[in-house]
Amino acid sequence: MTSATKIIRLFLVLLGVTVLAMTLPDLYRKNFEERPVKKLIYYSEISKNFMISEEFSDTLTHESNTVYYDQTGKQYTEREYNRQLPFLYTRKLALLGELPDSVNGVKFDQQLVKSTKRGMLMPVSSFNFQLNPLFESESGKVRPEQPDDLFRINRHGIEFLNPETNRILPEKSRLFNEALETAGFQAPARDIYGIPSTLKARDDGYFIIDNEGELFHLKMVKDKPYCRHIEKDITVSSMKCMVPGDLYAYIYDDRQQLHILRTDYSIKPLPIRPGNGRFVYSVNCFYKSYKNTDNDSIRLYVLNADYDLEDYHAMENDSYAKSSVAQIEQYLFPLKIMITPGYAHLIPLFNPPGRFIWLNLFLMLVLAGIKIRHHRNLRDPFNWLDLAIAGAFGIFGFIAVLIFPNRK
Amino acid sequence: MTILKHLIYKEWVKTRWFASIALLLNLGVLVYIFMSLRSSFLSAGGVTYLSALLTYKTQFFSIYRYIPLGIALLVGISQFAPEITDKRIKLALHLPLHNLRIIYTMVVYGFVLLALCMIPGILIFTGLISIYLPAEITLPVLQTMLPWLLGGFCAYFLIAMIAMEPVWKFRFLYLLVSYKVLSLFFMHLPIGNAVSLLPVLCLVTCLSSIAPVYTSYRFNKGQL
Repeated sequence: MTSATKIIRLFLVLLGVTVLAMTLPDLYRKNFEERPVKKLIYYSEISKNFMISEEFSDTLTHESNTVYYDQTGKQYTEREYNRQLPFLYTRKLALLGELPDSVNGVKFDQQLVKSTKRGMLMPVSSFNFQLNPLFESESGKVRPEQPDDLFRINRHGIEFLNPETNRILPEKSRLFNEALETAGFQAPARDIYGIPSTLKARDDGYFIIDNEGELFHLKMVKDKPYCRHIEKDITVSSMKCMVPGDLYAYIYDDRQQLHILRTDYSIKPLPIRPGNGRFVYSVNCFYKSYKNTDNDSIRLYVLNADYDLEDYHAMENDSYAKSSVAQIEQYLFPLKIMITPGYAHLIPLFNPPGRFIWLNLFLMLVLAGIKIRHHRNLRDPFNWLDLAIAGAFGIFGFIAVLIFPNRK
Repeated sequence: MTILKHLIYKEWVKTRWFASIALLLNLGVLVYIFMSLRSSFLSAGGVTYLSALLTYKTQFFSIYRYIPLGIALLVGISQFAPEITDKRIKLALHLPLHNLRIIYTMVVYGFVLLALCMIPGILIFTGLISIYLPAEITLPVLQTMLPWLLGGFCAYFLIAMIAMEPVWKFRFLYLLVSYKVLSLFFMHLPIGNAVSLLPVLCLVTCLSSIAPVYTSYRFNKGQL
C-alpha cells in the first residue's frame, strides 16, 4: 500500500473505533444488565418522616416484593405507607375510603390536592425558537389569549412580526424597543425564557438575558410595555419559568447551583447540592421537596415555605454503575461514547485505565501474533501504529484494525 | 482529457434514468411538504399555525428524512452495481490513466450528480417556505435537514467504498460499519438540536469521501 492509502486506512480504523465505542458497550449493557432494586423516597406531610420503598424483583420468575419503611427503619404495610403520603396516593386512598379529613390542621380537599405541583428541573440546554407570543398580562380573562403577533429580539432590538404576512409591525416594535432601551437592555437577546402557552392562569411575560448577560423582565400590561432590569450577582446558565405562584422561575447558575427568582425580583440560592442538576420537585402548601438521583445516591431535600432547609435525607442508589456487570464492563472496554440529550454532542466516557489495560495488552499481543503469522513487515511503522491502536482502544481498536486490514 | 470525457459519458449513461428519478423524487417530496405547510398555514391561520409549530416543535418536513439516503442509493447503486458485476471496473482500470484518477472521476461525478439532485430542490424549498415562515424557523428547519443531506453524501461515498472492496466478507463488515455511521446522521433529534453535531457529521462525511481510495487500492492490487 502507498503511504497515502495507509493514512486513509488509519482514519477508517479510527472511524471504526468510534462506531464500536458507541455500539459495543450499549450492546453489552442491554444483554447483561440486571434489574437494580427500585428505590423510591418521599417526604410524609403526616409523620414528617422520609418514607422509603424498595422493590426487589426476579426477572426470571417475574415475581417482585416491595418493602416499605421510614428513615428510622420502622416497617410499614403498603396501606400504612400510602396513608403517610396522601398527596401522592390521593386516588388510591379515595378508592379505599382512607383519605384524611385534614393534614396538619388544614382541611384535605380537592383545592389542597390541586395546589400540589410536580415537575422536573434540568440544566440541559436545548434548542428554542427565539420567537414567542407576548401575551397581555392583565387581560382580566380567565386565561391569556393568543396575541396576533410574535416577537423576536435580534441585533435591531425587539421586533414584532405579523405571522399572516411575515412582516414586522413597526409601531409596536418601536414602542417596546424604547422601553427596553430605557431599562438598559443591550440587543440582541442571548436567551428568552417564559411559558409561551395559553394554558396558564396568568401571564408573567418573559425573562430575557441581554447581550451583556444582564437579566430583564418583559411583559405587556394593557397594551403597554413593562420592562425591568433584575439585579443579580450570579451568571445565569438556564432558567425554568413557573406558572403563577410565589416564584417566577428557577435559575441555574454557571456552577449548576439552583436559585429561585421570586415575584419580588429577589434571587435566593436553594440549600441544595448542585450534583448533576436534575431534580424532581414536588411543591404543596406545607413543603417543597427536591429529589436528585445520580449514580451513587438519591438525595431528597425538604424546604419550608421560605425555601430554607427543613429536612434532608440521602441514601445509596442501587444503580447500574455499581453492579458487577458494570464493573466487568470497565475491564472490557476502555471507553464508551454517548450522545447527550438536548443539543446532541458525542461525549467519550473513559473507564479507569488500570482496569482495561490488561485486556488491551493481551489484544495487542494477539494482534502482534496475527501479524507475525501473516508475515507482515514489522519494520513498517503502520503495523506498529495498528498495535498502538489496539493497545489504546482495546477491543475496539483490535476489531477495527482487523476490519480494515493492512496488507503488504 | 478525451478519456475522462468518455468516462464521464459512461457514468452518465449508467445513471441518467436513476438520477432523473432521484431528482423528481427530491423535488416531489419537497413540493409536497411545502404544499402541506401552505395548506395548514392558510386553513389554521398564521398565528395558530406558528404558535402550534413553536410550542410542539413540529417537524412538518420529517417525511424528507430518508429521501437523501434514497437518492444516494439510487445514484450509488446505479453507478457501481454494473461495475462490480463480473468485475467490469477492471476494464476502466486498464485505461491509460492513473487508477486513482479513474476512480475519483467516477466518485466526483456521482457526488456532483447527487448535489444536483438535492441542492436545487432544497434552495427552491427554502425560498418557498420563507414566504410563510420567518428566519427564526427557516434556519433551524434547514439545520435539522442538513444532517440528512450530509447523510446522503456520506452514504454515497460508503456505497463507493463497499462497491470497490474485492472481498465479500469485508463488504459485509463495511456494510455493518456504514449502517452505524449513517445512523448518526438520521437520529430522531428534536428540531434545532442537531446543530451541535454538524461539525462531527461534516468530518465523518469528509472522511468517508476518501474511503474509496482504500478499497479501490485493494481491488486494484487484488488484495484478497
